[in-house]
Amino acid sequence: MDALSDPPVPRPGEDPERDRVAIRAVARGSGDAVAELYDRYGATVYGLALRVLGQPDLAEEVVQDVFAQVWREAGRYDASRSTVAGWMVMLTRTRAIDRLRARQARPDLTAAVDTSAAVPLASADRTPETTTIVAEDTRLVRGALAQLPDQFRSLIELAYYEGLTHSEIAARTGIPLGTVKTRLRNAMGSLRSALA
Amino acid sequence: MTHEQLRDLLPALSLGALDADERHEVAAHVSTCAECAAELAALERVVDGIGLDASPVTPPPALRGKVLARIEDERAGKATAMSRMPVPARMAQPVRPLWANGLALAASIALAVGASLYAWALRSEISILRQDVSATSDEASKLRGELATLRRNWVEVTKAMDVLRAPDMLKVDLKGQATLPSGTGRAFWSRSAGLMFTAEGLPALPQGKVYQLWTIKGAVATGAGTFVPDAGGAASVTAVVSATAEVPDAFGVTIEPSGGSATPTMPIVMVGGTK
Repeated sequence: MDALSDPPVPRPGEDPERDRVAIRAVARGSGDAVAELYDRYGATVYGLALRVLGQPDLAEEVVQDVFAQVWREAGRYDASRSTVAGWMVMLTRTRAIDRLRARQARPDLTAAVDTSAAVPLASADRTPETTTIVAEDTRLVRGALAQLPDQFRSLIELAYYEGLTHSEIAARTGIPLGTVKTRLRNAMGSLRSALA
Repeated sequence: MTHEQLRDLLPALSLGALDADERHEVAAHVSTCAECAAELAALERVVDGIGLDASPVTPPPALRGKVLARIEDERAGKATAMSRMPVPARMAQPVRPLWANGLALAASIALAVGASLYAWALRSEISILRQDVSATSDEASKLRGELATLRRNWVEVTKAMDVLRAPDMLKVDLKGQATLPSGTGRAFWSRSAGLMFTAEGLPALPQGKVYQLWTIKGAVATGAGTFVPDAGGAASVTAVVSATAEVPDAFGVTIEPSGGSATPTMPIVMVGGTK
């Protein structure tokens, strides 16, 4: 596994082919490859879980669950459907939202709704070096997200980080359903254009 | 929903923000629409990008060891209590698996749609075949009719030939009278072979009227067949002659109701004498 651990270690999403090599190694039972993926994506997975759940202990559990799932399901990873980075982010989001939903109540729930309190996606937690070398898609999406008006970005965040549907967002925010649909569509359209 | 309406919901689908009913409908559409499938793939890249952009946070150093220990547990088949927790409903249907479920649903819908399309195509095929059979049947019926006509004609021709070849054949020309100046006719009479009559220049008759040929002997007129002229005003008729019939004095044609009459209705429109 020396080849896999040769420096420099690629950052999240930076080297999709190297990610795929690692996933295939995981599928063959390589614990070292799991470690490599953890070193590359641990902060991404933890950061996303923390963002969704707001509690470090729960976020840590999600990280363990995600890498356990990667271990079990590496053989089912479909490179034609998404990058390894995208897959892991999807797994993380799903796990975290499941835990979020499983909780009876969430004290800081309203904070997430308050758009003025919404944490910017490119937050101070992001280390400067990381922000310069994430995948191109991510860079473009971040740029487009940053340009979105809060009222649009907040809807994407409610959908993405809390897994809310149109009608749930409408119920949560009091924004009419039709408006929610239109804003979400337009917001995603803006991000989509950034990738085009 | 129209293609445009469904396409407008793709962003929400990619985010997992569609409510169930819409999700199923959009997913079903995507499975059959290349344009929307491509758009959804692009949107999923956006969604992946959002997640990757989500504020990486350096985890506590101890977490790495926990993760790797967990993997060793998994390898040893000692799944932790956490991983053996009952799977919450939503976990069983995570975002992309939801989409996958949507795909499965879409596939089953596509299958159902495909099956009904297939059934529809079969029904259409059957309908067409029925029409073909019906048309073929009509054609066969028409051909049978033509064959019958040809056979009748052949019989008529044979009869006519017999009459013309008969040694006792008598030929009589008929002339149109004042009421039918254009008409001309010719009768061939043989006691042994029968009677053949041809005519030309016959005007078409009103509905329900026919021409009727008569053999006349003395004061007695005997019906020898009815006929209707063709579009060209020509007609022919054959008739059997009684073996005991006397040679007629004349032949005449009258206009009678369909089916003919027992005695001629005046006036006689064509007439010709044997002497």
